[in-house]
Amino acid sequence: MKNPQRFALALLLLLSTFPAWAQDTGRCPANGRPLPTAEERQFLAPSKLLRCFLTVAEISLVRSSIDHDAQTTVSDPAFESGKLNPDGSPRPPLTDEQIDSLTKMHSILDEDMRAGAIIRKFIPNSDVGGFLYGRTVIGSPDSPIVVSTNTVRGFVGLERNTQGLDAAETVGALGLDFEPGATGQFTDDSPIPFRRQVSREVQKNGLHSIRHRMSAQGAIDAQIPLAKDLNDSVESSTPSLEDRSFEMNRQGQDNPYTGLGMSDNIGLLTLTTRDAADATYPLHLNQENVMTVPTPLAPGDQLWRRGLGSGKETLIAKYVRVTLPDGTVLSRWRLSRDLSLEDEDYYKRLIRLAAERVAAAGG
Amino acid sequence: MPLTRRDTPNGPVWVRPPFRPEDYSAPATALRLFERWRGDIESSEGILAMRDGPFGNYVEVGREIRDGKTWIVLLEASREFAVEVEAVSMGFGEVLTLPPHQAYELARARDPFRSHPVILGGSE
Repeated sequence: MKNPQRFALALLLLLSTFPAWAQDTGRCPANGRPLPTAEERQFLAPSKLLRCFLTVAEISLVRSSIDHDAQTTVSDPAFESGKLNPDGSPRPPLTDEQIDSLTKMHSILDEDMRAGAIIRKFIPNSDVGGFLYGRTVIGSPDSPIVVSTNTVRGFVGLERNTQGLDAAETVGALGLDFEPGATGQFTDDSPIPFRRQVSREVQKNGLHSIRHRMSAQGAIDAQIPLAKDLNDSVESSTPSLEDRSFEMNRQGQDNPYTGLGMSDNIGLLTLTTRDAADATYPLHLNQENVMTVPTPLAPGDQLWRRGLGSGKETLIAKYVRVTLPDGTVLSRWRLSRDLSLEDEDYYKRLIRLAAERVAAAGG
Repeated sequence: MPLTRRDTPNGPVWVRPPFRPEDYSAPATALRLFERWRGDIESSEGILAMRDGPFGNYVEVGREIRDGKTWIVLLEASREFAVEVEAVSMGFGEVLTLPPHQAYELARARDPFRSHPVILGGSE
């Protein structure tokens, strides 16, 4: 046991907040409301779900942990700059109370990453054509490689994390993405130092995400990325999170990765002209996951696009199983029949461009 | 073996405990994770460079060509075990663990570059 006192404290906290009492009464231990069912939890925004189990003070502690250093015990020089804020100032270490609240939050939210859970994978618009075509080109221009795009990989999150948010709010809520350049797929630079603004790309063509239903193996492989201090604490104090997290430290002072297992506030300026010039979208509590092994797309998965101004989404395509004339069964994307003519032209053009890139690379 | 930080009158130091083979041995789970990426669409280098992949805590500390194959030597930055992976165009090729004493030497080679001095075995 690395830290028996911390373990005892965490155990005490867990026992005090997850008592049999809660299940017996069917009431939330923190606010007394009816306990949500497993199905209801899939559609509850994390902030609402957490109010069932965490006190207001604990939620405040979680929020206050942003911009703290969760890797003070990392000694390798490769991660030294990750301990700094974008302006170069050092980040304060997490307090024990923040670590305990974060641990509690993750143990609650992680219960819902299970077989059948719906996740979203937000993808840059530059990748949409390759996904719909089924293949794309990676590697350098000198040695291009044609690859299939039939997996979900990297950062993912439950659908509830961004449910009802419009494209701009989603980019802000998820801290999309590490784009320090003048223009990006999700964010562009802004006149205000250390602030980004919603990219012209998203404003023009919307924000796309793959809606995927998790397999049992996929849910196991979707783990919580935590920087060392927090990961060590979780591993030593929280049996329910055994094998549910892995160590992932922050590299680079500009990288919005928090190391806290949740998204960072990237200081994304709002699009609303009524707001102050430096007003930013609020941070939404959530849990990030990383596919430690890519998980294959499954028939029934969907590609959605959300725009600005409302959380309304447009279904772009479905991943369907088809049988070819020779009897071969395979899965591929099929554009929605409900697309407008303009949208259909747009996505067919993206597919054609992807096909041309693949052909040029010898695929 | 994770180093521990100690505050001294002269400032913080990292403490490296005396060598024990078990502290520098690669766990089987680490090897299995590499193996599960075999045949992936990305090259070995591409996977290791992923910002949102599971191998971000591995630091490349060596590279050599043997028998026409390229091998990348990786040190896990916190637990300080070492593996050698065969670089291929899709996923990873063979994955080998390096002996603990070799992992220890690789870790020690990074000590001069750490943010604080490293002292051995708890001595000052």
